[in-house]
Amino acid sequence: MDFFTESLGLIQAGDVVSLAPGLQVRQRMLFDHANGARHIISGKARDVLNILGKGIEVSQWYAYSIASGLTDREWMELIIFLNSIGGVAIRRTRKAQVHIIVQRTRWRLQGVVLQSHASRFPATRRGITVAVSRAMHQLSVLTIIVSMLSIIAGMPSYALLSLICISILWLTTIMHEYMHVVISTSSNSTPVIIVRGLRLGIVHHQLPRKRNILSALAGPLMGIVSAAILGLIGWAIDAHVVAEASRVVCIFHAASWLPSYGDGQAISKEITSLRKGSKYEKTTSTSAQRRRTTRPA
Amino acid sequence: MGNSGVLADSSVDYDAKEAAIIVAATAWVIAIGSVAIAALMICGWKGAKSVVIDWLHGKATFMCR
Repeated sequence: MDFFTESLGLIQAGDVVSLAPGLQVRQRMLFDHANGARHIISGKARDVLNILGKGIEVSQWYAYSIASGLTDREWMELIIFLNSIGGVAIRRTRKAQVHIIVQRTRWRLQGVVLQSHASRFPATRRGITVAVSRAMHQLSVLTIIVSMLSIIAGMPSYALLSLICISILWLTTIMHEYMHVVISTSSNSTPVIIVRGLRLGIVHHQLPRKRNILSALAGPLMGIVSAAILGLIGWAIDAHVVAEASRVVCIFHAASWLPSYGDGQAISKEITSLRKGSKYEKTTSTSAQRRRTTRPA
Repeated sequence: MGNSGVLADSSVDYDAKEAAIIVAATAWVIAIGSVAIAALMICGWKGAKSVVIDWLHGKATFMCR
C-alpha cells in the first residue's frame, strides 16, 4: 500500500506514529483531556487505537489494523480523523523528513491539495514558544529568501524591515497565545496548542461566555500592546525601522478580531448566542407573564 | 458513525481561536518579495534606488539605479 498517496501526504512507510498526549482510549470512547471531548469509537477502531499508545511503525500498524478487521479505507479515514483533532504524533528520521518535503512540494506544484499534519504542544511557556516557532518556520524561510531578493534588487531597507518585522511578530505572537492560555486555564483543565501549517490555536474546555469573550479580546490586545512597547523603544532610540515594523505587526494582531478569523469568530459567535439567549429569555418571560395574567383567580 | 469507526463529539470545536496572524504576515512578506522581483524585472541586476507605492491609485514607481 502507498501510504503517502492514500493519506494525502500525511504519512509514509517507516514513520512511527502514536496517540498525541492528552488523548486516552477507554472502553468505547476516545477521551481528549484538553477540551473534555468524548469521541465514540467502534470496537475495531478501539483495538487499532489502543496499540498506538507507545508508538508503532506505520507498516506494522497497518498490518495490525487489517488483521483486526478494518478495511484500507476505514484505516485511512481513522488517520485523517485523528489528524483533524491533532491526535496523531508522527516521528520520522531527518532523511525521511527531507524526502516527504520534496514529495509534498512536487504534489503541491501539480495542484494536489494535501493534508497538513496537526501537531500538539503542551500549553506551557516552552510549549508555546516551540509551537509559535513551528508555525512560523515556513514564514522564516520565506522571509530570508525575500530579504536576499530585496538586497539583490538594491532595497536593503526592505530586507531589514521584513527581518525585524518577523522577529517582532515571533515575540508578540508568543505573548498573544500566552494570554489566551492564561485565561483559558482552569484548575481542572490543561489546554493544548494545535499547530496546523501556518495556523495555531488553543484547544481548551468550554469557558463561560464572558471569559471566552475576554480571552478573544485579550489575546490580540496583548500582541498589540507588546508590539507597541517595542515600537516605542525603537522610536526612543531612533531605530525607525523597528517602530515601522511594530506598526505593521500591530495591524496583524488587530486582524485577528476580523469576524472571519479565530478571535473575531469567537467574539461574534458569543455575541450571537448572547442575543439569541436574551431573545429566548424575553419570549419565555413574556409567555410566563401572560400565563400569570390569564390564570383564573 | 462514519467510515473511520469514530463518531466525533460535536459539542467541541477544534478550530477555536486559530490565529490568522502568521497567515497575514505571510501575505505581507509575499507582497514585499513581489516588489523586489518587480524591481529586478524593471531595473535589471542594478536594482531600484527607491520604490514609491501609491496604494490609493494602485500605482508603483520604480527609480532605477
